Amino acid sequence: MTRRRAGWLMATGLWLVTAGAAAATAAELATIAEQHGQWEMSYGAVYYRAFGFVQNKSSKPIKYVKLQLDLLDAGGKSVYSTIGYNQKAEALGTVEGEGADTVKRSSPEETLKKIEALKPGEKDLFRIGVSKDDIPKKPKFKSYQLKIVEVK
Amino acid sequence: MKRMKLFLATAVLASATLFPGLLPAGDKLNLNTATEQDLMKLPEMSEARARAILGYRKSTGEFIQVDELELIPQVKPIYGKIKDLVVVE
Repeated sequence: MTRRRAGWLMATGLWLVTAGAAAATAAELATIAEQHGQWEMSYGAVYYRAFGFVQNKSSKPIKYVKLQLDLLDAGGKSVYSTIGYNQKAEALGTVEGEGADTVKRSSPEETLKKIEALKPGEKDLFRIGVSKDDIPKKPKFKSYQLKIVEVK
Repeated sequence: MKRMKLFLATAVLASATLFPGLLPAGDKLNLNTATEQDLMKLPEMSEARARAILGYRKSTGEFIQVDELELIPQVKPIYGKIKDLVVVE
């Protein structure tokens, strides 16, 4: 094995260990305390919405909980994926739809400063909606999966 | 065994004669291809309800899940009675 190859392998291993530790940390800091998924209609537009509560499980305040929603087909494969935040940190999310480009956005640092942190043990609502127009028609999704991908 | 088969055949024939419009057991209706006449075979389905389902399909696109029926106000009261008789394909 060349020195270069060994170095590459070590770097990959280190990255995997770090990534694993980061994921474990996110799960340790916050949890999804309650979750539901249902179809909703708003002004004639149809959405599939996952909602519920996240809870700060740590002993320190946390600024946000970032969640990933996956719509899964019958085989458990993701057919659509999107990201959302707890309600107090929703400003961190992306603005979509008509006129989204006209919305003046603060820098992520400024937005983060304005967010009210979740106290230890505190719960906060989350809602992640997907327009029916954006959901693939085939294969049809049969269930959803939510996971916490980042906590800060 | 023969008696059982004969009994089942008689029962199916009798139900088809007594309730000609109802959906045969085991046959599920595909919400994405069903016509008004097909929908009318579902229990407690009225013309207004059947048209509301077709209207929803036309305006929002094909059904992705059966649960979407709950979004149609006319159909919501009978959702529990028809959800197991329909599929989305």
